[in-house]
Amino acid sequence: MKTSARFHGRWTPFALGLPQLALIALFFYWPTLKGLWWSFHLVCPFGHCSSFVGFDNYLRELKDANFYASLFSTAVFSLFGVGASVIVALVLAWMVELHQRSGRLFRYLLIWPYAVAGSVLGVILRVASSPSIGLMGYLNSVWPGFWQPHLNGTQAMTMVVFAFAWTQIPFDFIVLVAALRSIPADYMAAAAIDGAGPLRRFIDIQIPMIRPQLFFVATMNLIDSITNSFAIVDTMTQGGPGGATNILAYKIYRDGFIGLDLSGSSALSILLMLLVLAASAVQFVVFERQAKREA
Amino acid sequence: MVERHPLLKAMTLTLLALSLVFALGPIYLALCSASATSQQILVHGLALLPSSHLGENLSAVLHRADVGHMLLNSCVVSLIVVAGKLALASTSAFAAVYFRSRIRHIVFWGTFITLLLPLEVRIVPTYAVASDLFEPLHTLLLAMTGLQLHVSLNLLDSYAGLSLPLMASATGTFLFRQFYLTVPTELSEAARMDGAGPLRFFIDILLPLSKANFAALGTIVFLTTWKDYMWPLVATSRPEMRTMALGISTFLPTETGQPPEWNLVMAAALIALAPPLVVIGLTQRWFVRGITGVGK
Repeated sequence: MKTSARFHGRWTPFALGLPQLALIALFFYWPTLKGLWWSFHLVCPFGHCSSFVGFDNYLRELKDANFYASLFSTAVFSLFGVGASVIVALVLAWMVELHQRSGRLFRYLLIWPYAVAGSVLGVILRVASSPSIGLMGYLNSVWPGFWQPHLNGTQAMTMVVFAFAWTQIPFDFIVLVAALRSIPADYMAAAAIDGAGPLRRFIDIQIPMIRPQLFFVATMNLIDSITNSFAIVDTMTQGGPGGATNILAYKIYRDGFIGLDLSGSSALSILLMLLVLAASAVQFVVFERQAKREA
Repeated sequence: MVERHPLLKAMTLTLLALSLVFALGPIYLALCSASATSQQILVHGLALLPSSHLGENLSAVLHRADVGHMLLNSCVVSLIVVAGKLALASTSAFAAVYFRSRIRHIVFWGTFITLLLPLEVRIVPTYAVASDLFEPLHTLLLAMTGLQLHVSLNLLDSYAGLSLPLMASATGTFLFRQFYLTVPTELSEAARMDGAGPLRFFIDILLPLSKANFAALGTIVFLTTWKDYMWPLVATSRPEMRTMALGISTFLPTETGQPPEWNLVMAAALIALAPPLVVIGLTQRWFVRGITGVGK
């Protein structure tokens, strides 16, 4: 922006930004620093005494088989959750754009799931997947004992991934529909005249043209899968059975609030923060490169 | 496009219809079971067709101790966060865009970094701050001057505690920043030439121009706050302070106890998802605009 369009004044911008910065300092920076400090100390359960232990808390986590089990669950959950969300949303967006007339109705209805909180969906799906009264109950009358999400880790993970994807798809869908609509109609028309069918146009024109938005929704989903999946896990599986869905965000909460292990939980938080940082850095670098290429 | 592909059209239309079954299935299931009787579900399994007991189940749930509180809490907290976030985001973005002072960079980057610090990774220490707001001050004073303070302010189980930590946001600030950058610079140049100060420009020119952004961001923030689960879970211990998205889990049957009343569980789920659904149904344009705006 031109300098002549900007206002003078040193303290006005500070005063305007101060309320938000104060809240951020109080609820973001300070807790983060405190978590960092805890992670290098052995803290007693209610946080009133502590002794410096260096990297011991990290080493303890890194030597713990539960940590790797949780990391593995997180990886499986993120991979399948993000993959399912992006692919389903992309195909839905493409199909909706194929249907000029009825597309509008689908566009309207397909985003309704955005209204449903993770915890509410978790409760509904937990009832719906119950072996005794749920929808999958008939499977057990064919193969007795087949459907037991409360005992079978793979089935529990499948349910949690399904729930996660269900809550993420509306967001991805909205972004991708907007992206598809921003492709100049000439490109599509020219390709059609050259004899490219809808599927060919999808693969050779539409997908490459919306690659930035695809990447955007994938990283947003990835960060959400690391951080924002708590409600689903807490209402559906509580990390079980046998830790099969004990993803890191849930483990931090369990260890900290229920195990009262502030040090270990904080060390985990810092490790998870590094994961989020890595995901965001990748996103940032790719976007910068994209912006430079376009400029 | 111009060409005709009847087979492709038929196939994709079928797939779309199928996806609609999946998308609305859970909501439909909740509706069906919420309108059945408890016996019906225990004997025949989950209802797949609506029956006629919706009204009595809903009123049974609403009369249960805390649901009224929960609905009220969800509304109050969501509205406080919407108002707070809109005010904070629009002023911060204004500070980050319209000034020459270097401080605008501090405002911008100080907000930006919060993107890397989601609540989930700082949940335990954030709880510690909310349980005593002056704790950072205590610690700093003690470390620097050795003085000990004896004031404390506990925000747990209060509306302030439920809403303040959710108010600051980088995404809202970005949304406004992106918008301000598209506003023609001639406007602020002209305002400056006419002798208007920054606040006058902000209130008389910029705010009226950003009405659509307020509506879009407000809708999104309302929905995300309504759906929030983790912060209410740790920030409340008294049942009457629970929000709806949190309280829904208390309807799940515990291991021991009376036979589960699945119809009431689903009726509660229906109550929890109805208000945001109405918001999406009515304000779809703002809502979509908010999401694509954040996505840019």
